[in-house]
Amino acid sequence: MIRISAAHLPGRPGATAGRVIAEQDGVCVLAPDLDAAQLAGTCAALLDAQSRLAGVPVSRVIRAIDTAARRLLDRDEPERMNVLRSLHAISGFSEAMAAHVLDRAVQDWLEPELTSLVRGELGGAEAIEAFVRSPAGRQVRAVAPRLGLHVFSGNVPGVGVTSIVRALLVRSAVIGKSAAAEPALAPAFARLLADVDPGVGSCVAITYWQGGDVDREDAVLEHAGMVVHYGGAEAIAALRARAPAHVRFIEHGPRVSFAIIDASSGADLEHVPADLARAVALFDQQGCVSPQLAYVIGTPAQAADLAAATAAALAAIQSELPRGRITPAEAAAIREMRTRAEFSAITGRGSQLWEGQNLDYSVILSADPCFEGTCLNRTLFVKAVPDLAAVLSAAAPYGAVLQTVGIAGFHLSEVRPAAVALAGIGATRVTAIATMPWPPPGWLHDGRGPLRELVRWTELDEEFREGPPLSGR
Amino acid sequence: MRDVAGATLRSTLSDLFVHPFDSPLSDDEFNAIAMRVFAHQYSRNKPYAGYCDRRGRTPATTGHWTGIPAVPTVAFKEVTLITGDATAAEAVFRTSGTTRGAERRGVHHVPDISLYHMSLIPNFAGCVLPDGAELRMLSLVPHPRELPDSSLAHMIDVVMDRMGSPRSGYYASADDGIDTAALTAALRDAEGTDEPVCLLGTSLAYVRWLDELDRAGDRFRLPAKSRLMDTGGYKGHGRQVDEEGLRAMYGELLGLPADHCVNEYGMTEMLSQFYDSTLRDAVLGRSGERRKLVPPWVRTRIVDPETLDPLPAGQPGLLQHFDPANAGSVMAIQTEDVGVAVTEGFRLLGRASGATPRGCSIAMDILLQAVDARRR
Repeated sequence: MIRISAAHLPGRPGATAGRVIAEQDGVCVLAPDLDAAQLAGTCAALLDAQSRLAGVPVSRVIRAIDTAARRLLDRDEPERMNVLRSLHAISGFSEAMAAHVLDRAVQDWLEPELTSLVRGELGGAEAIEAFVRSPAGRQVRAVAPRLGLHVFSGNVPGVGVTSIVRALLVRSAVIGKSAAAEPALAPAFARLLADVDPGVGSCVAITYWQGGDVDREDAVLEHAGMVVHYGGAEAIAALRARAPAHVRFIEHGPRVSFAIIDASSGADLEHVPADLARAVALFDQQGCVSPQLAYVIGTPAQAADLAAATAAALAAIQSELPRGRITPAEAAAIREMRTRAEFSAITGRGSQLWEGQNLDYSVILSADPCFEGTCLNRTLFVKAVPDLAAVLSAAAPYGAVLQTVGIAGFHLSEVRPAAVALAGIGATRVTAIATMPWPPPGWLHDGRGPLRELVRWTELDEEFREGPPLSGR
Repeated sequence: MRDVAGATLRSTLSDLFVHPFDSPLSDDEFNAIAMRVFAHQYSRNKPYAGYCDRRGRTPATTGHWTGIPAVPTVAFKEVTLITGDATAAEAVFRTSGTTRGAERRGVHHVPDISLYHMSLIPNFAGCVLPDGAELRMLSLVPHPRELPDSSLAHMIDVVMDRMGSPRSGYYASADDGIDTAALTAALRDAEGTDEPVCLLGTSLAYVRWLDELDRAGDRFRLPAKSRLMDTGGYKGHGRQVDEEGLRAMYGELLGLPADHCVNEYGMTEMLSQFYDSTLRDAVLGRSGERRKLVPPWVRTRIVDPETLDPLPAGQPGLLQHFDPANAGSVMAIQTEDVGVAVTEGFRLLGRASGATPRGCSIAMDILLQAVDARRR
């Protein structure tokens, strides 16, 4: 049995044993059971560490993150091995998927990406370190809450680390709550960071408690100026309701993504099935950026061709990135979806089903153009529609939960009007299908600037502009 | 099933349902019947035949019952699965609405209702009335007049009519629920006259009634040989009580020993039922853990949720039933119920459906909720 800690508590190196929070297939994940008072003590220590971070140049923070991240790429790094074991045994991803996703996720935490993220969001590190000239010519400085509670969700590995990284870039300390379904990556990163640069690392603590534990969460909320919450709508709403009014609440709740392929334009669509299949397969479709539905602007026959080719591509991916473990309930959901499609096909109602062995993947061509999601785990609806307007009217009611729209086959001149229309119904990202799963580090996650949403701006009046004192004062 | 081929099958089945309860058919005997039912269904149930064709498993290619394609229960929501003409069905049962109100209901067309009766009576008698008692039956399920879609209401009506004492009756209505006053009077009367009763109802109804009883401080000590059948899940309504908790309430509030409390596991899509073994075991002086008894004419397999391959004994999986009583629709039923095989039966562990898929990606039912919430 391999024991992995879901916690990292700076200054408490002995405190990583504790109770079991997940155990499967020879991997056991543990975390100390901190009570409310101990969590409050952890928050106080983090605030103390954060006050020291205030004098540290952002470039040093970036270097520390980069160095820690690179260690996650090192095949001999024990933390990497443990993360991969947990992603496979606890989170249920196939070994190949776990390694693929980790290696790709780390790329977003390297120095060039982080430097450009800070520049793109805030104009540069100077805005965090000092007062700078804003584009409007005013003296401004970006200030983040000193401590944030970050609640991680289980299914897209790396999202938790990205959340930590964003906070550190704006000098905000992190108390992170691990997810039981993916408990290993965030604490592993935090340990590596502490090893690489203890000063920066002392600003991050990761632990675990059962979500919804009022005493513990209230103890943390008393110290935190911000909550960054990934997860289900109910959990988010429950914590939001308890957070004091002054606490900035940043939520990344469930979202749905889909694809639109214009088969009527005559554009070359040869690469689309492979791109679409990959976007569906990555994270076993559990990301907010994972497409669940593909509208094909064109004839039913064109949609059927695309569905068949995508199914073939999903079959091909199965050997490279096998689908992960699914629960009996997930298996039942897939079988239910398939059965409905199959009998719809048998009774001539226009459905067709392409399916892999053992529920590996399912592609369903449906004659009903309604906007609908699937039961995930590599299940995709494909639907023919006459034009973009039909997509827009079907998807518009779901605007509040729309995320990424992947497009293909559009004439360049059509892309912008389509994007305007999609923005109008609530989509927050329009991209090529191939790039759906991996937005760039600086993407406007759920429509908001990833660093800008963390900071407030302090403005220094022009009167106190640097330079010779103004006369008469 | 009233044509010539069907008529022979019908007489075979009616013989089958009087097979001695504790001696299951041999594999050969079962196989012979199952293959005849399969051929019957393949030739007369078009959607099912299409389903079999897609799998390349037809009466021509399949020689053993284990190769007969099992249809997931959800199919009953999608298509009419009847051998023959749906308009000639003698009964049509529907599944109850689920928590997702808009969802379609499963529909089970029964072409030959008397054949259904022939199967349900010996099963109920064997498990709930193994002592041959003729009891006053008190139903907490409304009369089928009020619930014409309910196979449970239909079954209780048949049982009461054929096997209950003349004073049997209904103590619930679809509109007003349980008639507590009348039920209390009937049970006090039973206590006074020492006449054993047989209560029939859903677990949900029992919880509501017994909670009320408990609040009022009422208790019954039902006469010896009294018994109870409960069935069904909760579908998200009301207070959740697990099976053991419920039996503790039966004991405390009604004075019923646990072995006289028999849980039924049945479904609209399948005409045979599975009952707890406890009362039959007690009456026959047998020992054995509480388990679901498989009627001699049924075969139940525990299969892997992903591959649907049969699992080794002792490993939990999905229940797959082969029920010749379903000759008029589809015999081979793939459920989402999780169970584990035990000696002479199986234990029901729960349901595999209804769970929200993991992930940041939003699942369809949450999508619907999100939109519903906005409309409210």
